[in-house]
Amino acid sequence: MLPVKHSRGFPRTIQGFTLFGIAMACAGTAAAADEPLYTVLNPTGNPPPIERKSMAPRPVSLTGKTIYLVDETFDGGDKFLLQMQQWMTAHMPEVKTIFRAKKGAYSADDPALWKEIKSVDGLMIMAIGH
Amino acid sequence: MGVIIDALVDLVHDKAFEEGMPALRLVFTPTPVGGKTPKELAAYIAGNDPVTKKPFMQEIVEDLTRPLNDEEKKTGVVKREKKRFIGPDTVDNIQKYFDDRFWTDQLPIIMPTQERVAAMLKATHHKPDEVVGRMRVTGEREAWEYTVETAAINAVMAGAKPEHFPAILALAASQTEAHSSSTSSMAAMAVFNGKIVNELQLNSSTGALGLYNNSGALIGRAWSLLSMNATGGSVPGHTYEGVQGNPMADVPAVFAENVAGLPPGWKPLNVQKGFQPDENVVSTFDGCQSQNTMMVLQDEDWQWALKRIVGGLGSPQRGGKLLLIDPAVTPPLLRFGFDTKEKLINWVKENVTMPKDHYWLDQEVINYKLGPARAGQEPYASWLKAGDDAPIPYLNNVEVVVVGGSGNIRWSVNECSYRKSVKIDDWR
Repeated sequence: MLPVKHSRGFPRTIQGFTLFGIAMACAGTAAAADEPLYTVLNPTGNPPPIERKSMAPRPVSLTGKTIYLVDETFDGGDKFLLQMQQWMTAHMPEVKTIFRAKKGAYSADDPALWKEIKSVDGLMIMAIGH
Repeated sequence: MGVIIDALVDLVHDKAFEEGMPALRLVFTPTPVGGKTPKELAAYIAGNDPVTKKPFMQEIVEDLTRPLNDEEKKTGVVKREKKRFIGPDTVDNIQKYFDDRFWTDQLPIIMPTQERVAAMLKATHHKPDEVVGRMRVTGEREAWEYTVETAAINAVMAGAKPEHFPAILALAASQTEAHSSSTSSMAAMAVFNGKIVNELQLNSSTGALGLYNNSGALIGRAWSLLSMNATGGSVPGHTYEGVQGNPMADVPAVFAENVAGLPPGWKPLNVQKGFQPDENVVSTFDGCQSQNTMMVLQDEDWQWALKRIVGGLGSPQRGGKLLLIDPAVTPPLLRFGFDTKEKLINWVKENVTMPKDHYWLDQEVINYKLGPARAGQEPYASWLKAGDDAPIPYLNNVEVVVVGGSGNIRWSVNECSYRKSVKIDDWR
């Protein structure tokens, strides 16, 4: 039995409903003429609406920019970012890098850090370890 | 922009979509990052993104500097609709359609026709479109809501009968996710108390936690299917990430407390949670990952043995333990001074500890508790400052339930956390 193919970068929810919209439901084997047919109810819940957000504008160049390397504290993300910082120091001397561990649990907001990054017109790379 | 392991490529795109940035720029590393040496991590950075095959750092620079396209600038609200009916088609084709979308547990279902769902709905006075609750596949994902009808559809699919439906609705109202998507492969359990135990003939004796009881199995399967489908299906890589899976998650253990086996002074679970003894109540437990049984404790070393078995399971990051005590095991516990459940619970919370230096080296503790500790959240902040060998009393969610058929002097410790108790009669 093959699962529905979910192409990368194309959300499951959108894809699922597109399939619904294409007509119908079942793409299995053809029914025998005397086989009973059923109409059934969809068992899934109701997803919330999505509020689209514009991404942050990009600079033309990284020269003179400050890049924050932000660890969200999960499974080795800190060690990975520190290696990235070493690489950037060696290969991108025109860029300033600052390593930071996000405050609080990995899923917690850290508005003070976001404010700090904005205050220097900085950029952020967040790494999620695992 | 974000950097994440390639094993989570689908999940992270889903999450970006849920957060309103479906085109969020992401660069991937090989899996895993955790546990790798600095040299190995440096090789990741000098190498290629395993998803796009482009040089990792080149992608980073490009993603930080490439101007936004129109799609990346979009704002506004996107509503998501679903089709209410599926079919008409044959049983086999509908089963396949549901299986392919992971709307089933990959076992045959009862077709949720309008007639069957309507019959299920007659078992409650609540309206079909009433919202019962919301669930998330994990705490960080979006919350999907589900109605009385959603619960009825999944109850029909599971093979449950209308007499089971108020109990299934109560479980739905607990909003306890029985099919969590955590990579740590969690399961759930439910314990029933009250007259409904006899009405539904729920098992509190031999094999109570297994599939040796029709009502428990059907209610458990309905709870599991609802948990999968309330959030749109349980799709590996997208909405199910359990690294190894968990056999307890397919059909959660649904059983009754053996109230007749409670020793004097031990209150039933529903009473512990503030209900009257006869009130029909279901109590949920989640985060279940393992079960460990042992035989009766000996007078000579019960403290050492109790600390060893309770403390021997799982990460200390998880503060939950469920002690399932067979009635045959209660006499020695009374002899040790545990003449109430609460005394046993408190003893465990105070005496099951771990040295501070080992506690803060546990990877789950690092993942979940180090950030809060650094942010000053107690008790973790104090535990971080404690001396190296200071005992950390990490258990904060301990419960005791009496269950079993006394075929031997055995009991078990379960890696589970108590979540909620719900009155079932509110859902009739």
